[in-house]
Amino acid sequence: MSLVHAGLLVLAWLLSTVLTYILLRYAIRQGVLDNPNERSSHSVPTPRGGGLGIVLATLVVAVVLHRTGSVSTRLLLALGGGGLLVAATGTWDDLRTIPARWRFPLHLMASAGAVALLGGLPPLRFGSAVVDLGWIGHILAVLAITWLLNLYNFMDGIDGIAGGEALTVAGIGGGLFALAGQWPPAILLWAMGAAAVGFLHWNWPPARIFMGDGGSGFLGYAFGVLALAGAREPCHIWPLAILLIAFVADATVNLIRRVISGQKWYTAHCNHAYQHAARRWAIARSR
Amino acid sequence: MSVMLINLFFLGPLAYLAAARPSWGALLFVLSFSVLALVARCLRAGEMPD
Repeated sequence: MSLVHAGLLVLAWLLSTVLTYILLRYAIRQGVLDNPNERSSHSVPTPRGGGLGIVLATLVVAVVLHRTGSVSTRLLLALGGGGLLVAATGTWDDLRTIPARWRFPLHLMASAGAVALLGGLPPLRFGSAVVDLGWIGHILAVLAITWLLNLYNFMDGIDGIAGGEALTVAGIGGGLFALAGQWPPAILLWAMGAAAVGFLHWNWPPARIFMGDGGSGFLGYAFGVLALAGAREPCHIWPLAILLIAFVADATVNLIRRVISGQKWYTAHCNHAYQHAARRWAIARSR
Repeated sequence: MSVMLINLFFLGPLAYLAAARPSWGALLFVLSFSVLALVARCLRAGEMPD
């Protein structure tokens, strides 16, 4: 990692910190607030949409890296084009609720674009066998990125959880990519981690601003895209996939459970394991 | 935050192992998913100790 890369990480952190503060002031002025309801983990109206600071800081770093030749045009388009579409859809949903029948096709479009730009799902290693899933693999990759961006949004339900996940997954994942010599996804992941630190300054419990669907959707999407971008060798998709398991396991098991029990799986609820844990912790603390 | 601790002390080392031993990647993915799905189930059922 060069001094320029280190400087870019500082830039991502600073930009995210300042932008989140600006978004906080804007949300208060414009009344973009998350009002508590029976499903909420908070008790006072709180501004939302602060995650856009992470989006903009990460994409600024991506553009600079592209200008210096460190990031390919295809990776920039996959991360920036699809990422902005996902972030815009989420922000639109934050401001005026939009139905899933509109959101879902836009998410699929962003994911399909990224998979096409990055050359599809590379061969995967299962034990000693390397399996090329072909078109089935490409479709699975589109569905996986779409699920990842949605589940990241579902899991953003208590102060600091989505930012904390982003910081640790990006930090460790970037380190593993760097050890493998894959610097473009490594620096981009670290930039996301640095931006998450800036956001967490305002989102650490008790949060002064929430991430919002724009930021959380972008983070899930970006992790999916960077896992795919770094997976040019058969071994490299598993480490980042493993790092995301804390979110993936909770959301996926919950979804399967709701489908099997005949509940409306697409409606909002507060039945994730982390929400149970947060309620138990709050009760234990109040005793 | 517990999710950060899980990533640092459980999933991080497993991911490192998956990077160092590529042939173990899929197995480690299934293993870590199973462990955390079980933890999630216990938390939901209220069986975890306070």
